[in-house]
Amino acid sequence: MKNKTIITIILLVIGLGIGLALNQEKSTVRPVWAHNVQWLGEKPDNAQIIEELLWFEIAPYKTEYDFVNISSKGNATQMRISVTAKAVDSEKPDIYDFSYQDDELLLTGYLLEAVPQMFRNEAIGIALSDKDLAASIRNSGEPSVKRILPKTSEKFYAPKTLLSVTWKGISALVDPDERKVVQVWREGETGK
Amino acid sequence: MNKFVYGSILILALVMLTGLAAGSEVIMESIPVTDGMVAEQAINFTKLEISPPYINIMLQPGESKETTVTLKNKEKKAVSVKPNTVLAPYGGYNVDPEWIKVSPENAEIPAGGSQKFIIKATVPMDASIGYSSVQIAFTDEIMPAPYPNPFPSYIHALQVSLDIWTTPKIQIMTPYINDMLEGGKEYDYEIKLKNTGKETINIEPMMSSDNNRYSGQFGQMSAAFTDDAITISAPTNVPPGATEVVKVHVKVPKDAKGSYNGAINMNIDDTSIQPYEGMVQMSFNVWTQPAEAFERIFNLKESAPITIEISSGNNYNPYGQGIGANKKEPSFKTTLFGPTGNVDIKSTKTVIKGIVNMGGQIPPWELDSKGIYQENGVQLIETFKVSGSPGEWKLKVLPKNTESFEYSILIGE
Repeated sequence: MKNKTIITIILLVIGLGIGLALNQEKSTVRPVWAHNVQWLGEKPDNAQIIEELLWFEIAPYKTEYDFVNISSKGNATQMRISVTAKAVDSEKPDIYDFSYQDDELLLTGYLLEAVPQMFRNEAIGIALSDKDLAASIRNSGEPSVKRILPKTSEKFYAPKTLLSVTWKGISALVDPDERKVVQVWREGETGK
Repeated sequence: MNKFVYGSILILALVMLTGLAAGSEVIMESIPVTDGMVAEQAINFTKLEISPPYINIMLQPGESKETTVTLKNKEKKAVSVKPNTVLAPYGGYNVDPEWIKVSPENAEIPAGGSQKFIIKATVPMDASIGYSSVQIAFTDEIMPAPYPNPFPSYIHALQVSLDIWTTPKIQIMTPYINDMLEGGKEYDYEIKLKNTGKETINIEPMMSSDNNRYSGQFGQMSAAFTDDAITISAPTNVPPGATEVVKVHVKVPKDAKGSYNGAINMNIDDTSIQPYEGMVQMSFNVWTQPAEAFERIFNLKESAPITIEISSGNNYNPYGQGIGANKKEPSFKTTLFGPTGNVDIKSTKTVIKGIVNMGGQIPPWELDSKGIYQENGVQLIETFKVSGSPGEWKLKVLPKNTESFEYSILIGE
């Protein structure tokens, strides 16, 4: 009887271990496009949960992230999360700011410039196809190209990923799929 | 003993399931709920919140991707839902609703409860390239319409944008040309085309027929020169794996002033390229590099050190003007003449001044970047110092590759 009890306890421990291990394996799966993920500074206790939430919120644009650096400020229940992601085919990174509270992650800001050179050039070419804009920018140097997320794009065109091509004082919102300029902004304009 | 073995196996299985279930619960509860959409209540529709209300999926042919949405029942009773994928109005036809699978196929959401659905999009290898949208209607409740509508407006619909893309077989490695030109001079540019496919692709670059459509539309901004000033020489095809060069020669008329904007249509014979693709945009600004230096005369009443500072106009982008071999950095030829003649001056200090902002005047669609550092202005400042003697002095500055500059003359310490 004593042996049976010991065997039962061992089986219980093994079973629980296998179950948790299987789950652990499932929950630590990172997207294939995130190659090196690193927490900078102190890693919060709930880092794993935050990471899982992050993979629903961030994604590279037609490329893969070589490095994803995550940093946090605050306590376990309320914190500010900053993510800087670098892609191999782009000089500039994608930067995301989040607030984390009550187990929810909220995107509070982003600056996404990790656009591969080919798509960057393409966007500039599309922007310059707007004759009025092309005449206005004259030789203002190279513009910045930023990815605009559907949540923002919806207010100006449609809920889809767009690219913002910006020179000093003038910007074109480009739909890369339709290859067209959907809005133009000039400094001093109050909005369209 | 047999009873014990069977019992043990049963316990083991139960415990494993418990372990899995306990872990899975964390994931289930941790999905963020953002920007929910509540149906209009004017006509007493079922209150269901879909979060997020739209998703955008980018896929290449042959790929598949999963994403999750959450439905929250805001009613005081259970609601049955059964997702149904349908074409969206004006959503395009290069997507088949069958490519979208939703699991579970149906669900009963208790009052105040939530249900997660996994949306799996699978694009077949022979899918057409382009952008389409479909909608997933979770119930058959529709907005009433006074007339039959081929695309009913579903109340509880998730909008799904599907962006099917592929890397074109021909890569245009120089999709735009942007440069400062001088009247009377000639310029050469190269547009590289790389064939990443397995078959030879024909090309026939020529000036776009749209170029003249806008001539004169902007009044004083009419083109600095016509398409005749541009000649194109190119091979007739690009073999597989090869990179060919299309040469563009621009002969700027001597009296040209203003700007030119046009495009070259590469006429690439490749079905993976949309008819409107394959254009190389050109933007030229014709101006005259000054031959004579700017002059400024000033006087010293007594001996004092003179500090002269010359700075380029604030260039919005740190990368200078032009592209590739035509890239031009601003520079200055600065000379100083004192009462006794030419003074040998050398730059004693060079300052690279950057402007970093976190917002300011930015396009409204970039407002989400406010608060994040952005460098968008670089200025070159050169400082010269000499010992000044009483009398008349003359500063001469000949700028190059900049349309504006600033100077300052500091007399004394």
